[in-house]
Amino acid sequence: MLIVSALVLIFFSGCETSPVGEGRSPITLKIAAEGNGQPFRLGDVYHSPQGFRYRLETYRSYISMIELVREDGSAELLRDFSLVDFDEGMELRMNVPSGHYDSIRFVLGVPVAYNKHVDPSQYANSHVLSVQGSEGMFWYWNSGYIFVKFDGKADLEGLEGNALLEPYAFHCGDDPLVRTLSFPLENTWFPRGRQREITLVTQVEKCLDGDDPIDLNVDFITHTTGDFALARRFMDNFAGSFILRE
Amino acid sequence: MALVLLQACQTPDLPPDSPAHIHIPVWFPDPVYPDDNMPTRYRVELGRRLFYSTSLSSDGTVSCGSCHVPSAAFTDGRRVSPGAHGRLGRRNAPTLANVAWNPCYMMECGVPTLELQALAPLADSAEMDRTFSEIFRQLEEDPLISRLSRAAYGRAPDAFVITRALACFQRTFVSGDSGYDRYRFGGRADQLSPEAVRGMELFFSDRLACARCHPAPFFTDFDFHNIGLYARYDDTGRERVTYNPEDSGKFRTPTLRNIALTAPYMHDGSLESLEDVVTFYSEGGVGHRIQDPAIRPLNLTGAEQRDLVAFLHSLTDWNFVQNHTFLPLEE
Repeated sequence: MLIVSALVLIFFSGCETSPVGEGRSPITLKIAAEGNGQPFRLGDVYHSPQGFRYRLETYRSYISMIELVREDGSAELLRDFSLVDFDEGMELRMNVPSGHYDSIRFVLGVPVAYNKHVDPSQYANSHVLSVQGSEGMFWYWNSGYIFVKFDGKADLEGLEGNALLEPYAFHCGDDPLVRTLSFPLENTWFPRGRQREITLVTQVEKCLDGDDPIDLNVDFITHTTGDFALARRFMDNFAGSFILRE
Repeated sequence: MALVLLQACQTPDLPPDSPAHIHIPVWFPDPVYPDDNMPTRYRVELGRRLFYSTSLSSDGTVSCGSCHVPSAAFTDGRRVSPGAHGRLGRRNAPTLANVAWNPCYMMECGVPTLELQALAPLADSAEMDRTFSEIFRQLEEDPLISRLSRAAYGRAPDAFVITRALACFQRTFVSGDSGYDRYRFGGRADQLSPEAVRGMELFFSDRLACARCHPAPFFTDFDFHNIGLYARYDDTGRERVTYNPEDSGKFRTPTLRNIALTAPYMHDGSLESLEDVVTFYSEGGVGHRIQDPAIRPLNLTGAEQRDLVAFLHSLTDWNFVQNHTFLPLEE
């Protein structure tokens, strides 16, 4: 009896967070990027809406407050803050109370309450919002996090044989650029003990070729303060690049 | 008037959390210290050591004290300062006098606290040019810094410790003992020359209205103004954080305390001397579309300009710029 109990205990403690106990549903949440339908890798070459070739050297973003939302508006928090390098993606495993959830909701960037008036040195050094954790993703002269970095090199002459030498950079942040996305779930049932997998995918080419196409030959750089309008355009395209897979 | 009792933490029998005594002139409002960073002797000493540590820069040549020199009221006499690898910034180094009272930091006030401000020059490629992981690892390996960090803040040197220690040290930079202060608040009529007295009267007059943006005791209103230095600003100042075109060319009003020692002037160091500054204001700016209406031709006579300059010289606090407790510790 003791051995059986021990085996049961070992089985249920194999999950990443808490054991799948009574009324809990295990979830695998993935965040990934694709380019032209293929898994994204830094250095791969893509074409802008105008046909210019470009490759990414940096593609990373804060994604915050990932929640499963019920019909009545209540939500289960899956993850508070993540800094996702899209060439690696992210995979989390957790358990949520079993039941029905209508949608998944998340924030691109860092929510206003945590962005400009919270001291990053107050976080533990391992936290993604700490000084160390946010290195390269924080504007120190205008306190606040860089929500997304999308930069690399392009060929703006449009010749296939050319090297990609022209730099471009979209570094977007600040409170007005926070975006909250919500996707309805096709399968709303999260049964007890049965694994569900949810993947949030950003389609790289949509960042430039979204509802408001961005021409790299004209608009190739923003660090938000230098060109807020362009940062807003990019952020809207970035938000529009996400799809949900179940 | 209380005596200045700020001491380096060389008294072994005092506990680490014994308060740092910082003299505040009675005509200054009390500074507000953050609850998690009350100034203690150990914290000030740690900040003092970090302030002058050139090893915090990527090439080992630049410290905070490189651009903020006590004898120049914590400026450096340069139009713009060279950082690590000789890279130039684009703004004139501001004084650190009385920073404890600033409501926000950087010229466009994008940083809410003095603690957070320390991160900006450390990370800026044109200033100290370091990564924080490098800094923390280096400081943890320094036995003295590591011991002081634990004594002062109960933890190993990290972002929390560095930002707070530097802020503690900078909050000791209190300047309120100029000739003007002794004349105005100390009843010392001998402290201002006749020229300086006439200049003071001009300064505070309705006609010139200098005190509208530079009121005592800090000689700054901490607000933002476009003074019409340029018809078009490459550095748009406050607009960079508000995204509002009506803030273009606005910068936070600098203090005039110790102004005779902090040449060159303006956000970009473009005016060489106090005489140039007074001439600029006399002429009334270039007429930028959102130039502050207070900036208009004053048509000062030569004598009036000299008197104003004399008054500005009277804002020098020689005790402040010669305070040995601001200097690097001698090892």
